Amino acid sequence: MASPNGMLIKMQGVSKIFFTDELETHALSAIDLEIKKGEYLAIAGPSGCGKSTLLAILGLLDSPTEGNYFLNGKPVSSLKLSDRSRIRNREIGFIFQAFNLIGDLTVYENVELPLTYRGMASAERKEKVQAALQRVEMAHRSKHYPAQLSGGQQQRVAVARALVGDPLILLADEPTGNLDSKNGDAVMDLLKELHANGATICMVTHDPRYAHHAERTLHLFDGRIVEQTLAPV
Amino acid sequence: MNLRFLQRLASFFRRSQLDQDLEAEMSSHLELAIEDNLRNGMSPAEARRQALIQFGGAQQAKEQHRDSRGIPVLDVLHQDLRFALRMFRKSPGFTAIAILTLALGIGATTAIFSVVNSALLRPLAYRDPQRLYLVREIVPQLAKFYPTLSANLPDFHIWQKQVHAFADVAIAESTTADLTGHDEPEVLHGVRASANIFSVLGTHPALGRTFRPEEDDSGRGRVLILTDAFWRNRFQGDPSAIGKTITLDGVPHEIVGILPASFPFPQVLGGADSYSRLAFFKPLNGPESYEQSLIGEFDFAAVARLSPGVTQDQALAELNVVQSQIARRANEGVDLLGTLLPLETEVVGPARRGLLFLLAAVGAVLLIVCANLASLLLARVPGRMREAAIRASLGATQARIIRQLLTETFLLSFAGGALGIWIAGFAVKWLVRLAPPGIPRLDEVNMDARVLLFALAISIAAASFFGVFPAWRITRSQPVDALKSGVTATTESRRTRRLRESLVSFEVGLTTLLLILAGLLIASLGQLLRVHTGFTVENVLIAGVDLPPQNYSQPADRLHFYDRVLAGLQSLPGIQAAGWVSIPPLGGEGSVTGINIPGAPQTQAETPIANYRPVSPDYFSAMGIALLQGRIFGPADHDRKIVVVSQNVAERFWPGKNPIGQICITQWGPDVPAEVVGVVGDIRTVQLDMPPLMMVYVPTWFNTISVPTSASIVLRTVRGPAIYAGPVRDLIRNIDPDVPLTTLRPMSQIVSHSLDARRFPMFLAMLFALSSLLLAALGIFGVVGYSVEQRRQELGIRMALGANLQDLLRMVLRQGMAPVIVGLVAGVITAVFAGRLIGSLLFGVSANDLLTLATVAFVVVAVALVACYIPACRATRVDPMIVLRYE
Amino acid sequence: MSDSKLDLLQGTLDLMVLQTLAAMGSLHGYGIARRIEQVSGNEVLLNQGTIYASLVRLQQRGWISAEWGTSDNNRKAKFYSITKAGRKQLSEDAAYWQRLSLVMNRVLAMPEEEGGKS
Repeated sequence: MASPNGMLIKMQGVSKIFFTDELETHALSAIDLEIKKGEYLAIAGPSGCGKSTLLAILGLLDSPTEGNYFLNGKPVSSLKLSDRSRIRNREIGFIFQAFNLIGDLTVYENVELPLTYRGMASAERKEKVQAALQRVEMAHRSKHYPAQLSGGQQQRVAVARALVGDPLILLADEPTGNLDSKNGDAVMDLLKELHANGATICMVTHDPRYAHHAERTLHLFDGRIVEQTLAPV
Repeated sequence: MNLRFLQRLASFFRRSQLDQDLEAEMSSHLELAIEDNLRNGMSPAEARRQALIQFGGAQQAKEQHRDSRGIPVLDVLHQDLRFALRMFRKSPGFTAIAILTLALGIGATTAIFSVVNSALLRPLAYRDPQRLYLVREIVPQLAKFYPTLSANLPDFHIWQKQVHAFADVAIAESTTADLTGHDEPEVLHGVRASANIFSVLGTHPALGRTFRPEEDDSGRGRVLILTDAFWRNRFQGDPSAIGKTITLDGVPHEIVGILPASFPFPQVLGGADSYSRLAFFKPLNGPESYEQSLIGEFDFAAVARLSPGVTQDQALAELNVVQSQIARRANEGVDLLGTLLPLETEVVGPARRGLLFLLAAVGAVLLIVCANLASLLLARVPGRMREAAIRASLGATQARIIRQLLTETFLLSFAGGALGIWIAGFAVKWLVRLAPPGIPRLDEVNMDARVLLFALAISIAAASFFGVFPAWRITRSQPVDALKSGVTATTESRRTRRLRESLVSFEVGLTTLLLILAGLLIASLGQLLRVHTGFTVENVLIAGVDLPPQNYSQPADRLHFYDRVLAGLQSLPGIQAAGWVSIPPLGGEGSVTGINIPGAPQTQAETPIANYRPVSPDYFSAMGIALLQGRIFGPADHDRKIVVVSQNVAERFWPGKNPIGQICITQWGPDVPAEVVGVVGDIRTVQLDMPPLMMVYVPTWFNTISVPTSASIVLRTVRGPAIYAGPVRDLIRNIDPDVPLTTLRPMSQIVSHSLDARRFPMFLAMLFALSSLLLAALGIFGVVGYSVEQRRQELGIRMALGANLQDLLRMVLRQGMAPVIVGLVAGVITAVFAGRLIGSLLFGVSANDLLTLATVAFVVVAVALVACYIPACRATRVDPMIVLRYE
Repeated sequence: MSDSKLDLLQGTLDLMVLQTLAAMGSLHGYGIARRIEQVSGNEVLLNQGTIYASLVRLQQRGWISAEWGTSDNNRKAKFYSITKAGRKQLSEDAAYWQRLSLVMNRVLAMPEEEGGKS
């Protein structure tokens, strides 16, 4: 199902307008965006610039008011709710600022969650969960509850959950925002390593220290892409 | 000590004045000190400074002063109450629901308790009621059919003289009399009693005099004592009624006394089925002709007051000695024994179990109300924990915080209790008005001090029950946790959720139990309505007549009257058949005596018993009783000794043989051999829930008593029988205006009325069960809804990870239903055991009737699903964008 | 010892107040506090304010009575005096304290054992 010239994501003229009390807010205006397979892209900008909205549209949590969005060559901007949840489940892996692990579930169950929504057999799930946990070096904590882990450990579990289903792309929303710099560095190193092994990553951050980890950084301001920088090779 | 407490209490209410006083005293103290210091040569500023240093903390001094003069608990309570009221104002919805559901729960429980209180707990309104015993006779040879018998009149006279363990003994029987001389003849219910009845019970007429001993003798007892109700109704409460004369059964009777309004006379003593229907008491006025023999005619309720210091066993031993002497004297080949039954227990009789069941059921509803409130309060715990943490950081102890919480719960409960007592007042009136006569001492129900105490006690119990959960929850947590956010808070609310889920299980369990028990009662009633009555219920009108003895002493006169009525009815349009019977179906037993076949080996005592019924030939077709074999007697059979028997008679005596033409020995009157000419179907004779009795139907010419003085005219009509009531009344009045109608009702109404005693508890049980179901549904709704609200973030995460709406819906439903299923299973298991306890209330269904269990399980699951589904739908409306938002 | 003032034992302040009133007749709160300080040779650590808690306690037990009046230098002040019941209580309490102090003296006079077993 590879799209032409290895293009994983293609956005054309995507806009998002919120209507509130006769007031139109243009959260995003005419965004054109392409992400190649295996690319590590950062989206940077001050808060309120539309980063989160863009990420939500990229992650199919929200749909654009205008414009087209092709994921892996398929148009996805106007899919039914159930199709969107299926795509979120199979083709997208989320990493959140607040980790967003479910407190009632163990580390193992948290990582297993996306697979259960896929209706995968339990033996296969077990294999994949363990592999993912090993990859983030959290296999020894699989019986723990999130509350028993440090922030850095929780985020590593969240990364394992994002990649357990072999998604096409990892979407990371300020993954270091709730971490101290030591743990933040460790998570960034983990993402780098994943990228080195072929993962496509799109990360939203307002922290310029981390933006340069990416190969390419889009600078967003007031809902528009104002600049693009390439990391020094 | 007490005085000091009162002073402290007084100072609590005079706080502000005392504070002002102290203020004045302190300022004078400082001034005195400053003056001293000035005198010692200090500068004014230094003098003031030193005075303040010497005095120490002014605020501290005030606190100490308050602590030692007042009651700190009261001050704290005052604060807590103010805070509680503020909390109530902040959430008026919760407060209203809490108080209202509590009021309904406490009100209903209190109302049922009032009934239980008067029926089971309050002593009978007689002097020393625990010394009163019913005396019943036992003929061992009849014990198979009649374990105990009422008392015989001549036996009673012997007991009065010879049983010294009895301080006194009285007898009474229910009677009716035709009141004439006024406009419409009327049948009055009354009691024929020995003259000493009131002294034995320990009461005295409110006006006039009691009966005199000689009024028990023949011809001297034409006097009446009226009940208060009848006197107020007939004489408008005019005291000059004493000495007046009224005509009963054509004989003038003088009114000599009026009973007090509060004089109960239960059915076991020979009273009417409802005390308010009772009109008069009359003395024995000598034995009737048939009341001469020492054995037989066991018609009277006998009540004995034991002599002081005599035990029940001693009295019984003496009674049995006297009984055996009577048997020897009677010389009829039977033995005679007696038994003593405590009057108080007998008055309640079989209603006890039903009442306790209802009390338990309504108590269960109250428990569910409490569980719901506990759940609502628990939902507020996380919020309260933050508040508690702030208070704790300001130095409040945990005990102080819990006390604050309990103040609120008790305040709620007392408000609910007060409103509940008010509601109970109405409920009691409603119960008394609607309840069937089966509930003993219903006329005595009121809300006395014990009922009010009970209401207070259950209010306290309720508050303790629903307040202890949130309090316990708070003690189990570290207040600091509440100030943290994030994952810890989730686990915090998870623990609360578990507790609330157990409460849901508890509610569902109780509801299931109640629904099953109510369902079993409904199934029983359904079985009864489907029971094969053996007669037609629809389109049958019953008109009871009571022929005044003075005009109808001859059988020929009575027969003539009945014939004229039947002839008159034939001319009415739309009547299919008309007949008469001495006692109609469900009209009770009567004319019960032996039946046998020639050469039967049984001794006299073992002779089977049958109900004898004189009937007109058309009775069977009018009543819809099927002719199975042979024929009905007709005019052509005149003077032949022939009978029609019910099927069970034929099967009893001639199994496998043709009963037609067989001879049986009837023992109604003198023993007479009679030929069976027909066999008709069995009928439910006394009650729908009692198996058919053996019936022998005799023609009017059978013997001297086969034309009854009272009978029921039975009309089979084409259409609704009620419209014939008017014409029938007119017809009978035209024939003889002095003949009163005792009944004029469609048979369907009589059948329905006979089930009232079952229908009423069933109705209440159903009411309680449905209330529980509603409450439990609200409880489920609340728990699931709250949990969805708490877990919006989690639901958003799950959506982001690819859960679709069905996944979420299923998950919320599954989690919401889990405690429901636990409760359901527990409820069903309990019901299977509890059902045995109410076995005596059931008819035709077993306590673990599968259909009932399955229906209830289905209803509970369906209602719970709806209660889960509504909030679960909210889960699907969570915006997954929530995962990208941070506060 | 002398450089730190004595903390008042529970209940001793009440006894001091009663004794002061018995000895001096009617006095206001400041006067009572000053008197106790003087008699004790300023050995007692007394926040004068605490005297009022003691006064209200004694009043409620009926051992003293109170009345507003004017002081020598024409100031309005509340004057306290001991009641009959108060005198009775005082003699009981005083006897108790004397016995207790005798016992305490004897106990404290016990010589320490040589080479104590700790």
